[in-house]
Amino acid sequence: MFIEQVNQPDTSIRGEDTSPLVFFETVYRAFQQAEQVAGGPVERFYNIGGYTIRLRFAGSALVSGITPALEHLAVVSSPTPDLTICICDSISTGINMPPPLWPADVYVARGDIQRYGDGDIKIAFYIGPKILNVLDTKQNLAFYWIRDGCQLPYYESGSPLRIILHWWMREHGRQYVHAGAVGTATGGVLLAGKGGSGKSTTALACLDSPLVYASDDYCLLTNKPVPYVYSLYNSAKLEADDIHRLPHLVPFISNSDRLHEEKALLFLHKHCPDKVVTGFPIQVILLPRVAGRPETTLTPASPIASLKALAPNTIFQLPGAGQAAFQMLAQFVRQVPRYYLELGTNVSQIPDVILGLLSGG
Amino acid sequence: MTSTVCFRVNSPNVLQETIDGEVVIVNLDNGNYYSLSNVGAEIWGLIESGAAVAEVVDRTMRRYDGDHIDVEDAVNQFVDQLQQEALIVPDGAKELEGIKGLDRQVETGVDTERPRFEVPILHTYTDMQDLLLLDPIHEVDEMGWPNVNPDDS
Repeated sequence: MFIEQVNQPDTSIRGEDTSPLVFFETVYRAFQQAEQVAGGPVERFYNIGGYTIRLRFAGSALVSGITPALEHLAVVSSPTPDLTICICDSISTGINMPPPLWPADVYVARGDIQRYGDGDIKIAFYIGPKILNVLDTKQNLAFYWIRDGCQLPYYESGSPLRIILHWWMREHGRQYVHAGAVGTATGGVLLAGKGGSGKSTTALACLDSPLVYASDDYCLLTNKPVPYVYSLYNSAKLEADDIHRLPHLVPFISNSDRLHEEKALLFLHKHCPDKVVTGFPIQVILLPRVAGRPETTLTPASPIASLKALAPNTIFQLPGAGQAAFQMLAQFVRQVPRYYLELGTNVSQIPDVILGLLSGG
Repeated sequence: MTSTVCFRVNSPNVLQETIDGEVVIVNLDNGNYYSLSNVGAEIWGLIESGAAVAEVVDRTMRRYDGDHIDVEDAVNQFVDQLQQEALIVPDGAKELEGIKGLDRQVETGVDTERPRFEVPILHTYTDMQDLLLLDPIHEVDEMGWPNVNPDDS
């Protein structure tokens, strides 16, 4: 259903073993070659979701594109990381991404390569920016390979390595979710809703308050031992039309020259490091929605409304996400109190409403 | 004539969760999601548990107050709709010996407190299709990787 006509590549690998393991090993060899060409590895370490993740770059071309969003989670190097993600681009290293070993009619927009790589080895490909994602869950080794590092889309800089982190974290008790989170050290709220519902505006409105920031659109969630959110990215994205509502953030925008075609992208750790935290327990789910009135208020929301706000737009974005993710999110919305956050036009009221809710007021 | 065909949820590409008697369904093939409540959620539960369509009609008749033909038509249409959305697929048929006896029980009006039957509604949400659906791939690059459809760029 996704294909009309394609020209199959004639590669030397055709007719040979086309298993996911062979592809993984081919990518690994190509990466080692690229790393050598680039003059050796550049390494960075991060604590993500409670695990030590090593980013191993083939040269420095992608370092400035990938790392700013993760800087608040940076840690000292470790000889025994839980996961290593090898990062590479074809243009700067001169080493091509190895050719696919599957036909062209198996791609899905969220990145899945249908019927291929469903076991220990996961493979996904973002067609637009041409980004290959490969993970071996047994070796805890992954590859993120883009054709041209200079063409890394702004949304990849804002929330890098989404697919690989989603795959690996779900094997380690963390669910990657499309949601924002703000709170205090002792507890906070998860902001659930599809794009445009007001998650980012809400999260960013709280920067100028006692509340701290964990996410505006992607974070990690666990139910055990208690509902808890882990920050993934210190970035925030705002529609150009919404910037006027938060004018004090204008100096933080990293892509002011491209707002005609991109959302405004802000790296908050760089500008307000004290406001970005690594995580907190979740006490309440909030479903932001634009109310059109000046004041911001709360209205009780059902578990089913919360599940609809949280699950489809999480699952539709993540290759391989299925019933287990849905089940985990259903359990989460059953456990945690829920409200609609009826967003008023006066955004300065938003943090007070959330603080009042968290303090039981 | 009501079918003795059974259906199953079209997993793994159809996901579903039930909370407080309401159902949310996600279809990974078409990028739609759905919700069911009341009669629709109950019928979904019956289908999921392996009931044949005739049994679904029978149990719905026992549970609700309604004209048998109206209920049968509504259930059949609802099952057709679930099939059209590829949320369920046929899963064989079975002998239904007990249906007539159950029908007689309904006809004698054993339970006069039954709520009025309402036509089941499948609430369909299409606002996230663009996250999932991909236009046909027309060409691949020299390495075999797909290119974006020029019309999309």
